[in-house]
Amino acid sequence: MSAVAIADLSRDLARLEESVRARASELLESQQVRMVIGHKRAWNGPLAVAHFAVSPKEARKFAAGPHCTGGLAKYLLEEREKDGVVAVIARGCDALGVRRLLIDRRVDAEKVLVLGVPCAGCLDPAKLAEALGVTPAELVEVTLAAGALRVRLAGQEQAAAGPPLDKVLPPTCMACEVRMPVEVAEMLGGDLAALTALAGRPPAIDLETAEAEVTRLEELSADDRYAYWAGHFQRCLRCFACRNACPACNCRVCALDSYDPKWLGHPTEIPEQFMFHFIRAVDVAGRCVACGECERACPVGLPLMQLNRKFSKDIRTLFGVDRPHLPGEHEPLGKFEPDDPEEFM
Amino acid sequence: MDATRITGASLGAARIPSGPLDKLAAAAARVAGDGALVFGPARDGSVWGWKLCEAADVPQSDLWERLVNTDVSPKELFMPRTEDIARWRDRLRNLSIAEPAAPPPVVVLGVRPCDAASFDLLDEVLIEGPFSDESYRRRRGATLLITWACGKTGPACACDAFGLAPAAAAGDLMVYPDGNELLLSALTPKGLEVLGDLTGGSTAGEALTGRVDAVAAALNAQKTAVGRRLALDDLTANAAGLTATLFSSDIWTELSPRCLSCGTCTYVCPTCYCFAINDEPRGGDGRRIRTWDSCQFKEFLSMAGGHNPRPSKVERVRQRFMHKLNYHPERYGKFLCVGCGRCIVSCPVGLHVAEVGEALSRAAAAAVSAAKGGE
Ligand code: SF4
Ligand code: SF4
Ligand code: SF4
Ligand code: SF4
Repeated sequence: MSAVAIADLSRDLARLEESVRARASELLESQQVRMVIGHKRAWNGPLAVAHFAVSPKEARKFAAGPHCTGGLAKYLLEEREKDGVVAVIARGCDALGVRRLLIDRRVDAEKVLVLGVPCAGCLDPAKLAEALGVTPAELVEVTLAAGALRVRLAGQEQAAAGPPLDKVLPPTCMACEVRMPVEVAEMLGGDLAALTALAGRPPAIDLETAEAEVTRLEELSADDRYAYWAGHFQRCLRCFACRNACPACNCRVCALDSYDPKWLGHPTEIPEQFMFHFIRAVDVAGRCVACGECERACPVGLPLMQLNRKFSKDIRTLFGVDRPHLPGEHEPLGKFEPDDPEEFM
Repeated sequence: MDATRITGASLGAARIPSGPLDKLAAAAARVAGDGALVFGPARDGSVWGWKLCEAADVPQSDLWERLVNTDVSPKELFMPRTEDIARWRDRLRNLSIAEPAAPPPVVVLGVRPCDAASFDLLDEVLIEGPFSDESYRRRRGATLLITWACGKTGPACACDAFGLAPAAAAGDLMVYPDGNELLLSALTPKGLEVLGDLTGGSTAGEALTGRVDAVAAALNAQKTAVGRRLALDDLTANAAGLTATLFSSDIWTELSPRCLSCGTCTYVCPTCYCFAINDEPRGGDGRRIRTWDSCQFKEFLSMAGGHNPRPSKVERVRQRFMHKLNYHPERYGKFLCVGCGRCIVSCPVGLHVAEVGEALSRAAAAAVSAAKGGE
């Protein structure tokens, strides 16, 4: 990303933000939708949080840009019983999340309006902190302005120039193939040449690179692999943030909550932790949209995307489908077809 | 505010050089009792938690210069994520039931003042109340807490907003960084024994306790970034009078939509203590266990028959924050929050006690001024 492109990019992001606010106000004003879900600046720290506007005044708070992390699709599940249309400001991963809920018939297409925004990738605070030699908690404010990523740290009055955005993206964003969202009702922002060019580029890392860690784990001995995962799983708090953040975890009654039958024992000890994580990963296999929300939500840093990538790699090997979560692709595990070559059960 | 929560009273003091802490840990372990286990902060994957330290890997004092606090609170040393209440064998033919053995003595090396204060809060509820939680009481009684005063505060720290301060006196033995040295100050007889063991009996004259007071006062004068933004006195001044108003405030419908109903905030929190009890049978054998539970889970209050008194996030989010910021202050005169900042850092959607506290104190102030206007 050249310096000039970054200057154009920050101008584009400012335009996009204005366009999100204007379109949301308009839709709410005219009562075409009853709620718009997007992002707004958080109370503290560099990242934005989800924002639910039901009036044009609240629509003025919407934000757009690389600080707008945190998936939005899942919130539609809570609105499904209510009348009226809900609009979602959707990055590529949000749009795939909405699509997931539609395919799984958990949300009515008539009740959702997907407003696409081109995405430059979402900041990974851990990576940014590492690049600056501080802890994530010390990042107070991050903006893309005046031509570059600018960062203000705890205890500093002034923001200073930070690393380029593409150096501080999470692996999920680096491997993302949908920075231009798909299956949207409309795209916001109008002509955003720099942002669109960036979002339209091929992913910064290819599938093989994204799966390098999975390949390394596959090559370990069974004992070493067990030790690796046991080491991570013992840290799991069983807070279920990974499940609750996930648009593919959308069952009416979750197996993990079920008492009768009790699929998952309550002890947070290694056998049950394995059981828990296998249930979670297997239940989303083939339906996972690779948004990375599960891993982002985890308070204790479990590398959950490695499990998801392992399953997507297996699906490719077994069924020859590279990206079952993209439109136009065949879903080998997500759909029943009468002429399936395998007997069912 | 209760100033004694911050200043404490020193029973004796000593001075040791910064650097290795194995001697301090060993002295504390001897005082704690036979077979004492020493826990200290340790990195686990990408986060900091608590780990059993062998004599050789007791951390050095510079750790506490670098690390603001652990990501996971030390409460699991007293309230394990999973613990046995009882185990049974051969249920149908020859039933026998065994209770768990007494917990070993534990030394916790270097908890931060906020976390040390969290145990005082838990003690009031779990030991000093009408019902004593035996498992917690046994573990707590077998513990020696060494509290490390904060030389700097982190961006999410908020102790001063919740009636504490960066060097608030809590635990058995306080450690204050003082240049190249560490000042030790005993707050309990156990702490004094550790000093005696460490120094061979020669504890502290007046001059040293004077120095302790001066260093503590300087550290306690630090203001946190969050504390500067929050003024919550309205909430403790008249907690009982505010309950009805705050309960029905609009802030709950405004703040709760983004909550994911996960257990993160309650599980990283040192002052949340809800638990679940379940039987885990395996054929004729089995165990009755206690695990953590969270008021934020949808099913937390689900009852047999299907009724759920807190069916939506509005009620659940309100419960967590009203408990911390109103119900507990009403009963105990202080917040059920020590401002450790963990929920501020860890909530995946940035919904935490600082933002909610600010909104709630604004609602309280509005109610107070409306009442005045009506007089
Ligand atoms: S499993 Fe993780 S990456 Fe896949 S859809 Fe769910 S949250 Fe997104
Ligand atoms: S978010 Fe992390 S800690 Fe919580 S249940 Fe999932 S893996 Fe475990
Ligand atoms: S407030 Fe945050 S951490 Fe707590 S339950 Fe809601 S989303 Fe999870
Ligand atoms: S509510 Fe948040 S800041 Fe307060 S003690 Fe709990 S985790 Fe720490």
